[in-house]
Amino acid sequence: MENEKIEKTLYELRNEIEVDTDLKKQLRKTFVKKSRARKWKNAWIPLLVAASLFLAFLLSNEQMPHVKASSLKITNAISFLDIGSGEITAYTYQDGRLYISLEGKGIFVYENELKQILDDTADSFSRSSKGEKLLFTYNGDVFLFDMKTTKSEKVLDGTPDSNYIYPEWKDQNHIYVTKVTEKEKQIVEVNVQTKEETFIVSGEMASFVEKEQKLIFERHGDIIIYNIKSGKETVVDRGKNPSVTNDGNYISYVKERSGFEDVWISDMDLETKNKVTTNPSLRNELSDEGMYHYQFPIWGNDERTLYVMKKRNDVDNGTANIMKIELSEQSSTEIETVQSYLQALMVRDDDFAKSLLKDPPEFLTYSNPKQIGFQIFETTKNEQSTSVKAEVYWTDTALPYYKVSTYDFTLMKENERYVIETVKELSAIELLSNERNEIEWVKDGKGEVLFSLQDIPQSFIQTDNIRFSSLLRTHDEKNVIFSLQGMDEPSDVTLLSFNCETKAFNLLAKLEGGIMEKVALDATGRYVTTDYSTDAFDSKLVIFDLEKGKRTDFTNVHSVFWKGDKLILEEVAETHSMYYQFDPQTGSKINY
Amino acid sequence: MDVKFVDLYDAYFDDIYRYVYVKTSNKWETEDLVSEVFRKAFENFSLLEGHQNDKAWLFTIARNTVIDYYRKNKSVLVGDNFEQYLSPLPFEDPFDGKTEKECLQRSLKHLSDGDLEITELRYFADLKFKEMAIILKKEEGSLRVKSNRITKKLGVLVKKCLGG
Repeated sequence: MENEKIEKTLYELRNEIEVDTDLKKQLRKTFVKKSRARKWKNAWIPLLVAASLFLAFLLSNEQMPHVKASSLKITNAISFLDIGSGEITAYTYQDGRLYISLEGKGIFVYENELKQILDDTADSFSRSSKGEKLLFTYNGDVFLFDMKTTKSEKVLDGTPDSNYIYPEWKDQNHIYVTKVTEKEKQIVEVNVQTKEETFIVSGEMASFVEKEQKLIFERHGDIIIYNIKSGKETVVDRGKNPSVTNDGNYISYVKERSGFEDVWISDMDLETKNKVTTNPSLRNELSDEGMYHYQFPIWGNDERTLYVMKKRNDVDNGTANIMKIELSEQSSTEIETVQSYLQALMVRDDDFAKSLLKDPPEFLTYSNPKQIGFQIFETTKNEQSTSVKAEVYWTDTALPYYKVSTYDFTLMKENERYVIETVKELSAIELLSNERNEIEWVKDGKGEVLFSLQDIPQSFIQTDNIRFSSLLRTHDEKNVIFSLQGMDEPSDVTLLSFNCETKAFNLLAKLEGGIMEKVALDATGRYVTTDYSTDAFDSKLVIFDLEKGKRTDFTNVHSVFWKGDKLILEEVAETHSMYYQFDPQTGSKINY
Repeated sequence: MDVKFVDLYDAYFDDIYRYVYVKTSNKWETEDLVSEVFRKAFENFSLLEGHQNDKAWLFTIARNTVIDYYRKNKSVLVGDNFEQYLSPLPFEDPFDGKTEKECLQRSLKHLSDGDLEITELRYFADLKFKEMAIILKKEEGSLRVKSNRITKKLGVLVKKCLGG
């Protein structure tokens, strides 16, 4: 055998070693968090975070140990995908990808983007796949979908009297599926080759646990475990939409109590149960209904991630979000708890924010003024509690208003996890435009005029018909970054900076045909985001690198908030919007 | 050196994984060891500054971690485990239908430890001779010659395996 061929074959052998991408992703997360923590102002914060992440690391280092459902704590939850005008008819999670069916639009896959892969839609997907093959149903028929080729073929026909829904793989040739007739819903086993059908049990939406030869399904509002061999039935709980983890250790389902739906998880052996959402009450009315309606909680590959669809109950034709809930045996640290809380406020996941508070107020989030970033800068451990101090940055859409609030979060341990007991605003410094068209810095109730509209050099001003719009003060308090909104049509925006020491103005950018919405600064003070909309109502985002004088432009993107030096942004498409994390230093974008 | 840890991680995770896997032939041990390698690298990341080659630095950690692991677990022998990755069929038992690839797999276990290490670093870890020289503390030129000889030796072994 020639040397060249030996070398080629050695490389082929190398490529046959399949890299564990799940490990790669999980482990990476721990280092991304650690690296980010290093940038914080105080050196002790990374130490604390690193300590907790090290525990998380140790955990990710091993095969997921089985712990009781009640021991799993929520470490994060975020609604990362918002299906604006569309209706999600079904979704499933396979090998790091979310497959979503949108009514009348087709089947999409969500990985780094939401991409349409099939014109057909689905009423339900199988919970798991066999090789590359996924099952889905549409209008009573069952289809086989090849995730690699994205081709589908019909494998089972419904009849005028009976429809199939909720398919589940049993083995290569057999499936469990719910057969819906006028009279009842039955779980049947079907040989997809011979089409031979066997009745198994009354009920719907079966998940199959191969190692225990059990089916978990719903019947008349009960979640039931059915032993296929013995026929024995055990009721798990009241609830709907059951699903099990791939390892068969946990069951997820939606349970309603006094009009409030929540997502629950249970051990397969039924020893413990755990509620993983905190549905807040509806606003503005004395309603006995929760703010959210949850559906189809399904598990990710790692048995520590849940995906759940949620819709707001108080909005007609409310948009559907997919929320990711991350669970861990280790509870979040005090700092992580505060970070999660502030993040939840900024993306308006009231249910998650509320779950982190000991005595949550009725209303948590508001449209304006709103938070656009935060920095945690101090923590003190007391005997019974921990105090975490953080600066939170606020703005008011399209108005010359910026606020830096310093909060003291007091946290205490409750059920082995930290909850926020009190939130106290220690100080608030505001930057605003007064009625004399002056920019004022208001500290401890005392205003200091920094400059006025008349002070701005005429060369920066195209028209007299202007007003101050969104602004901010840099963290070192040396500069004010502000915008001037042209009021003529077509409108334009001028972005300027003012040096408080030298009193010099500097032009950062002219944004033609725009209406300014907000400006925000990252934790390091190097990057400024500018959100504006064009006269054609396109959403534009510009990130300015103040250090290098560079700008990066995005279209149909909103900034949501700065998480340290990473920007959480929302990409808006015709059918949906979704969150990403953007690193302005590397230009890389990852799913959030 | 303006390199962030995650950049290093992203660039070399696959190479580290495959290198460790070919050493252990066991998914779970690979997961443990790969995690251990990156944890050590993260903790010592500040030491990378001033090091001439970041991949060589990372692989030095990986190699030492694997050696340490087997030192601590003396009952687990690399050779024994390596057989799991290779086919259990004895090399001296030629049979019809054997592919060159299968024969090459079998031939690898006939290499000396030193030769196997060079092959693994070169082909499974995808390292350059320059990087291997740093890790193994040997001359780049002599490694190049040595690697060439090993490849020839493997060619002969494969031929023998194929019954030629």
